[in-house]
Amino acid sequence: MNRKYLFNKKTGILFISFINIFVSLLVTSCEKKIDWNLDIQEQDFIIVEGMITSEKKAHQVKISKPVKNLNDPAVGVSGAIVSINDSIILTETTSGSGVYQTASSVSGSPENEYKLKIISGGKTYTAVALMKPCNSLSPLRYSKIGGTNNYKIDWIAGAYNYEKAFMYEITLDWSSSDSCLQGNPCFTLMYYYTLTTIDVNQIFSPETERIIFPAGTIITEKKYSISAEHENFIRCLLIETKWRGGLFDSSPANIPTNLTGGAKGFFSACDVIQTIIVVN
Amino acid sequence: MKQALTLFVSKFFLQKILIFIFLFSCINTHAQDLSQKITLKVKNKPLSDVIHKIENLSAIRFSYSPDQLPVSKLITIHLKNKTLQEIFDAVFLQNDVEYLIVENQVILKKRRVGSDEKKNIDDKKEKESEAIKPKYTINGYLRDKSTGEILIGANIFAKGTILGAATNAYGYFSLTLPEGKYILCCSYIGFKPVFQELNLTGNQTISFEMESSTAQISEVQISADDPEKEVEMNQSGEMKLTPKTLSGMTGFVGETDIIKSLQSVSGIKAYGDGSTLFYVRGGNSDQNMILIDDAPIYNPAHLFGFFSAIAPDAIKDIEAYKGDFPASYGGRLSSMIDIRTKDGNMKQFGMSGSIGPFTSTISFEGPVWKDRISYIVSARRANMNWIQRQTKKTLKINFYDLNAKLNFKINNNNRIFLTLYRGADEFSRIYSAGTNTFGISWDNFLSTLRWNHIFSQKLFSNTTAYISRYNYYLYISKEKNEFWNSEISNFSFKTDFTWYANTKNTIKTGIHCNIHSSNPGNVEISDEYVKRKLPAVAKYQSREFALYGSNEQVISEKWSLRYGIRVPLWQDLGETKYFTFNDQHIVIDSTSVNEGEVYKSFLTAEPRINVKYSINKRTALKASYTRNSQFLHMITNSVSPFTSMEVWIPSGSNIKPSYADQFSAGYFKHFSGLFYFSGEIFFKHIQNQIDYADHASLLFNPAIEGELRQGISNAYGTELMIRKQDGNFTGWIGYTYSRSIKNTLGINNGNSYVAAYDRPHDVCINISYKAKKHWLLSANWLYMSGSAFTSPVSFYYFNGYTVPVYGDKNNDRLPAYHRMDISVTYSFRPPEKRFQHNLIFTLYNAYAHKNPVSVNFTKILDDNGKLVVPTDLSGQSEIIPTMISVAGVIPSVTYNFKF
Repeated sequence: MNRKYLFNKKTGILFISFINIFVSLLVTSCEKKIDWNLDIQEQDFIIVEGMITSEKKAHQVKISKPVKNLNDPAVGVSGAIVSINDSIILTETTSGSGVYQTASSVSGSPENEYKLKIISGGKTYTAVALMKPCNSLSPLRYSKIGGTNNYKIDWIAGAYNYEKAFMYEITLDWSSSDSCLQGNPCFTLMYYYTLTTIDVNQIFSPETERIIFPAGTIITEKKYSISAEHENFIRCLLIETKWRGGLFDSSPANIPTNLTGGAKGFFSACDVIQTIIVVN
Repeated sequence: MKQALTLFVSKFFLQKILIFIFLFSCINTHAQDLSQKITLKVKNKPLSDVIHKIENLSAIRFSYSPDQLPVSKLITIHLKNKTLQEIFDAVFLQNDVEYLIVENQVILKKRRVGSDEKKNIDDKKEKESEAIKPKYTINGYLRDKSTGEILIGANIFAKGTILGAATNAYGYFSLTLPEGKYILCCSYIGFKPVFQELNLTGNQTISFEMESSTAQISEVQISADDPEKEVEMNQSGEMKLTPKTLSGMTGFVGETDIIKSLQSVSGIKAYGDGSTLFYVRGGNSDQNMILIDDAPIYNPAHLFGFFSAIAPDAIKDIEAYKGDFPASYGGRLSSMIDIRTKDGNMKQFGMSGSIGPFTSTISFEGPVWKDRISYIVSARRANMNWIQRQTKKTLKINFYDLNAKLNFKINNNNRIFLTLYRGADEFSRIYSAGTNTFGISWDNFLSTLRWNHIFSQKLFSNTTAYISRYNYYLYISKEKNEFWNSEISNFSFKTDFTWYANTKNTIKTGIHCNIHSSNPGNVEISDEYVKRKLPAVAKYQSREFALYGSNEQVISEKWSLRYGIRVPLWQDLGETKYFTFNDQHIVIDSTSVNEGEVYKSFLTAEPRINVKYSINKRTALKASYTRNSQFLHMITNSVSPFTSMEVWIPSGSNIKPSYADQFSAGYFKHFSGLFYFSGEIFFKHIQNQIDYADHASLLFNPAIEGELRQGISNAYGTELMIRKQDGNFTGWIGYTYSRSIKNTLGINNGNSYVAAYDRPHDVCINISYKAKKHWLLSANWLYMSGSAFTSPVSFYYFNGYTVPVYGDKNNDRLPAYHRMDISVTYSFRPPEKRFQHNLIFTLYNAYAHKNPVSVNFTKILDDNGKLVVPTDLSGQSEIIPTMISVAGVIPSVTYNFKF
């Protein structure tokens, strides 16, 4: 392990587990499903989810509207004029999808700055992102679960690095494996992060969904460089999602954005390194 | 007789009302029956033994001062089957001892031929003659007869006059009276009153010894306390608790818990289950200071807050001030909880202890040199082995407390106390096949050396030197000694003088010097390369000097005042480095400060005044104004009920001191001598109260000060309480309505918002019923409006995450909190026996109400039916709203013993 990583993922997992055991045994704590009447308010903003990377591919910018209730389907924003650095024009893939993409030959370069411009509903939204270079990737580690034919991921990256932050996108695909039963999803998308900050609710984060996969799974691991502003966005995103719901939550707040004009979401530029592993 | 009947009838009906409410029954009143017949046979026994024997043979209890009776006089007597009246006449009158039945007590005093108490009292009321009479001072200590422990806050007064005094924190009193004859009365919660006739013709030093009214099971009784004096002595916003009152309250899992007991007092709001956090009159939790023998304890939580630090066996007295604290206290805005520990038994060896499913305690005390030097050692540790066994011993959960105190009475004018306290928590787990241990731990250490000196009958001083240190560790690897650590410590010296100037003025003055140091969190790691590269969070050094003076002044029978001022000077010192921030809270510069160099100072004045108007002897109106300042701030943006890696930072270049101005007024009344009612209103304005930037990064952040925001807070409310403190049925009902509204630039778009701890309605009911000699039933019910929290007003999706969108800060409320605790204590032996042992059966949260601590919109149901945060973000899972509650019903059985 790189010695810059002080707090590895296992540490975090351990804290979660011993706190959970302690709480469940000692104080009979419980979490239960509830119906909660939220004070839903009509929102008049767009959400932008855009990224340009160093990969040569069709880069996407998704534009959507907020939803009133949990699990409501996202509503895409059509008819927007979307461009990067004014010269790269993005077109909507399917009318009504709100997904806009570049030509497949587009790629970004590290140390370059990219400006996203969106004109939608008579308003103009812009965002600027700097692409930081990405260094080498240490592949994730996985192991077989005793007594089964399934596997689990043991380590992806350290949760803390005092110098640089990174994002890891891991896709697990066992659709071509014999273990993939028809009708069942045989694909998993996960994100992990290395951040230059550490938070109490990160250390004591709630229990997460356990991912297991069979032999033959194709693991695609991508490491993304992230800027300081992007890192702050991710940290806040995690505080409001992955790290929320434990016993040591912090005060809630809206997630910041780099978009102007009242839009939410984030436009990022990332250098990417990729590795593919076949589980065997 | 008619009065007694009226009293009985009113007592009966009022009790019935309580009984109806709480489903308890049975009323018991006593009267001394001198027609009871006993047989008394003694030969050459001292009078004190004879008195004791009569007590054992009958239900009679005596009050007397041994100094005033010929207690060592040898008596031989044999009376068979005689009434108590005949026995008393034979034993007492023939030995120049008078007996007088007052309420349920038999008062013994030296017989004086021709004395006429009533005449004396009438004489004393003749003010003209008083004015020309010379005045003399009576001074001394009030002590527990059985242990020699000094009694704090005990009342001594001349019966039939308004003249009286209360013992100070060291049991000392000084009372100046005009020359004449008096009956002095000493009263204290849970002790028999002592009456002593006194012919005051010169200055006198008298120490009184008071006898516990009953032992163990009936300790909750506050018997024979003079209700009129309570109205006289108590200040607005002040609450006094003793172990005897605490023992009658339902503790957590059978254990007396100071902080949780305080949380059931009106005006003090609990956070909820498993938390030692509390909020007083709209102030934040870090605005409360808890002192143990003068030294502050920074984190009074064990097991994240399920238990309070401080073993209950070591506690003698607790004074809680809800903001209106005397000038001798400072450093916090909202409350001062002053805990005094026991001094140790000066008379004989004693031992007590308890065993329960969660903790065990043991205490030893006794004289090293009888009536000169005593000690007490009290220890408590967690019994969590049963949890460790379930985790194959990889999980370690432990906490402990250790109190030790040495009390040295050098002579009548000098006394020294040395207190040591250490409490620690450790939670860890062994990992990597036993090669690495991760975990967290925290510990408090306090040590206090105090010297009481009596300069003269009217001038008392106390000088204290203390240290206090609090450490919090997050271990990365215990084996490699790699950890994150935050620390706060202070070394202090203070000296206080109390000058009992005359009958109407008690002047207190003093100086308090403090040296504070704090480390807001740094990482210690074995790898030197990494260590050099890691960010360094600047440590802080500060010093504080505070001068104070106050006067307690009796203006007339109707009016009295307590006024004073405290002037603290706060200075921040190098060696350190501080940042300069721009308007957007971005670092634009940094400044290094040399060691010892003062780089920031704050000087302020904290005036305060309490006014009391006595409508009559049972009714009083009180009003107060207090200004307090706070220079040390606990930094945490956690909304958790548990203690969670908080750090402490002083006011300085980027953090202004916080100030609170509190106005309060109250109406206090005793009804029929049985019920005590208090109603208070307050308004508190806080300046520079700390809040936090959105998603503030407070852990291991060198620029932590840039994450803080300061604003104003206004709190107001009313507190009502009715208390019954005498008889078999005791307890109180309290109701508080209060609000706390904040306004902080940069938060909530600059709009006002309610504090998270804003819980408008708060009801607490605490009752105890003593059933016969062996049973004590206690119940506690708590109701609070739900705490405010910020709930989403819509959602959006990003990278597969469901992201909440928030509207106004703290726009929603959790469901109301309510909980009932029940305990039943069975004492195996009658209260008069020295060896006592009992079993306490406790049900915490008896009706298993799920009190939520949070509502979440982040969970999914996994394949095993567990609520977890999704890892797979491919959009295949449904997010479910969930609610977390901490404690269900928790039964426990605890065995206690004491001798």
